[in-house]
Amino acid sequence: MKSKLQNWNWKSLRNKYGLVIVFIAIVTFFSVLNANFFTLNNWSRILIGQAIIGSVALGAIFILIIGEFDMSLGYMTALILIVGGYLSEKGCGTAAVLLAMFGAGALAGLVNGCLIVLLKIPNAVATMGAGICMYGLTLAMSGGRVLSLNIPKAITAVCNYRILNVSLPVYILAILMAVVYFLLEFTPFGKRLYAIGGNERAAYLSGINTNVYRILAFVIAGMFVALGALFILGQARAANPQRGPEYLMSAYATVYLSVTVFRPGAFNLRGVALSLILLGAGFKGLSLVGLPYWFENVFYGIILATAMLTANKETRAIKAG
Amino acid sequence: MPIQVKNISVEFPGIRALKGIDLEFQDGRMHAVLGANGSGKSTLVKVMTGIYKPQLGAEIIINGKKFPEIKDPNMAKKLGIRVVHQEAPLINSLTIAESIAVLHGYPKTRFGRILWKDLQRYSGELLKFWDIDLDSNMLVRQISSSERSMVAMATAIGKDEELSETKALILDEADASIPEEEARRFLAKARKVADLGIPVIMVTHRLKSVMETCDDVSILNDGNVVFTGPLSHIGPDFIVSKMLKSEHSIVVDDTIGVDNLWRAVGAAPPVEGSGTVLSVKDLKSSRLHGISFSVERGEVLGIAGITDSGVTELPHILGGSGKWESGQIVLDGECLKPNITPKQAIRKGISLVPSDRFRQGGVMTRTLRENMLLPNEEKFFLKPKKAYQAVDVAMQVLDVRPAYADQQFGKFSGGNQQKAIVAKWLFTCPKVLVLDDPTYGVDPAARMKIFAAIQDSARNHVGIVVFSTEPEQLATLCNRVIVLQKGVITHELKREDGTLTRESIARWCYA
Repeated sequence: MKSKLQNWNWKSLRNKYGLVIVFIAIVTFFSVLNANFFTLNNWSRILIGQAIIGSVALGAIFILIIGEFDMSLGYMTALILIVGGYLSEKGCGTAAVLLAMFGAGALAGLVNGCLIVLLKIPNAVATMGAGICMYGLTLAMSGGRVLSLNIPKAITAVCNYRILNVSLPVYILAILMAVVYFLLEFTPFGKRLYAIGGNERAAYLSGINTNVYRILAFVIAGMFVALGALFILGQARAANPQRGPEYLMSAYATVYLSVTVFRPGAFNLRGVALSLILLGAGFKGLSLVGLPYWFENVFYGIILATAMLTANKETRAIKAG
Repeated sequence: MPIQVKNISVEFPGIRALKGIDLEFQDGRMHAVLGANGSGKSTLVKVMTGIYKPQLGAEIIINGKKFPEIKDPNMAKKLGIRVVHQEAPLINSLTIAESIAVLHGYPKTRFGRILWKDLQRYSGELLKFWDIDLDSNMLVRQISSSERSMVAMATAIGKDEELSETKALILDEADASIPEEEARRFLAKARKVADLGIPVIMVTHRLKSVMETCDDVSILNDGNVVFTGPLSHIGPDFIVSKMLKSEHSIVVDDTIGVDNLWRAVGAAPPVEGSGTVLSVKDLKSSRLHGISFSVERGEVLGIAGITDSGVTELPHILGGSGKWESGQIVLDGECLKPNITPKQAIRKGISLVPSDRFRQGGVMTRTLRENMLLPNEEKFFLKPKKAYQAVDVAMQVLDVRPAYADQQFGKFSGGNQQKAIVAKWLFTCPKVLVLDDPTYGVDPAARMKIFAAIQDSARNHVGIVVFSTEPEQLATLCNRVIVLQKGVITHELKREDGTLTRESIARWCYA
């Protein structure tokens, strides 16, 4: 098919698959350096460690695709987590806790979406305001304590159940990633989201109800954040009001890294999946060779900056929300 | 000292915008530069202000010194060339004095503290010098568009010693967004500059203001100077005839097969037969004051008018993205609601090809395939092969090059982008296709294909409404042309009775 022809030269290969090479290099490097790196045990730990960031990143990619930015994702994680812990302490059952957490996520997304789309408040300001409110509510509901009573057995069991030494959340996330990949790349819904991010006016004139799609993207993001919060609740068997905010930066870093690979210049889900594993493996490797815990953040920053620096012009021109 | 430009050539991919022109602008005279869209007049301004570079062999003579090119806007400024653009660069939320300071620099102490009193005094004196009766503490948003242009001009030129450094003033369509009556006040100020012995170069679409205020005129056509000289000997009819493109520049070829596009998206070709497909009755909006017209199946209706006549608003109202206050739009027997969205309009069968490719037409970061099928995505859900086939058909019919469906849209040339956008809207199988200046900034070959697509659609019983600023385009394409002036229809020109000619459209538009 003529229309599908593309130039297969070294430059386009490097642009598309450069990060894959980096990934292979990192894995080889640490495998040689430490015998414990390339083991099933280690990889299962890497995957489990990235499940929460992966959920939040799945939410963040919807927001970045439509050309917006949501500063509240971290505080949103904390709030939804505390909603779960609070209701558990009050003696609610599994179904009620799940419903409340996902409901809270959808509602938080809806509020953000409406503030930005309908009331036309700039996205950073609107979500910053919403995020601060969420933080306040988190403190109010938790009273500053870690809520760890009565966490429903079903949730903790599912989150810690292992198949092939890998816990269930990783599988859930993998399935959801496949679903989102299909949604973004192969359905009219996904194409429309990308079109809105590229040129909202043109999308509107092409017959897309852009307001509905934009609000919907925020709601979907809220639901994925809720999933992340659920994984924290299940894995930690407690709701700690301190947890949540740290996922904002790492989730965004993962999604931004995705623009440097597979489809340069566009947020893409295969890229998110690779970045998740790459960052997880890199960090684990560093801690295995004895670098301190704080190096994780430095590592994230260095990888993101280097990837952007070596990327091509279109990739670097990506709109930052 | 007069300003001369000699042997100026500028080339863009596929287009020679200026073909070695020579012009001279005399001291103390207002010199109008006229020409249709694409004639090269704005390119000339950009050469003189250092935005475009002419090809080798060019000479620009300012103040007796020769330059082969003006390297950048900074150099233009140093040489004493002052420009006032269409949108005066004043900032709405600042006061006039602050706006002046933004363009001009703040007066400061040695330590960098702003001397507000000095700024106030300077601004006041500047406004007084130019006889502009405004308080410098007013906010920019409070003043009218002509006052904005006046302030912009005063700031560009300055007073006293800055004034003596000014070697030329260029008004780059500076009067285009000002209502006619107010524009007169602004042009009187420009005349004052000329009276100080400075050459004033005025680029405009308004023939009437040229006849009233200018001394000399140069007419550009297709990159050449076709007339230059004093205005005293010539009349508006002569000017209009010179602005029109040469006869042979537009030829429309035969059937190109747009019906293949409809087949590719699995839609039936439009209903055969004649009869009215669109009728507009007493339509009123902020710029339109009660207009009525109708379009037959298979008819190509042209609508002409200059910027403030309502021609920028009407296409969007028809396409469902504009607002109207009262009146009726009836599409194929069905009344459209005033709160219609583009989505509903497309579904009911009326599609708009918007004029601004960058802001409204294409999603530059996505692929050609996605752009072409954006309004039709649901038809190709899980049918990627069918989608590529449809895009292949469109690329063949409209000759889009290179034929890479997966290439980023922004990487195609302007002409190919526009052809793809026309294809995108043909894919919606409209009963009525509205095109807003469909060939703006498009190379001649692409323009030909777009014309062919329009005529072929009409042959297939689609009702066509074309808005255009180029009279020769409408004369070639249309069976009937209506002329809008200040929001009302003033003339209707028909092919049957011989009133539809390039000259008649041009005369009614510019007059």
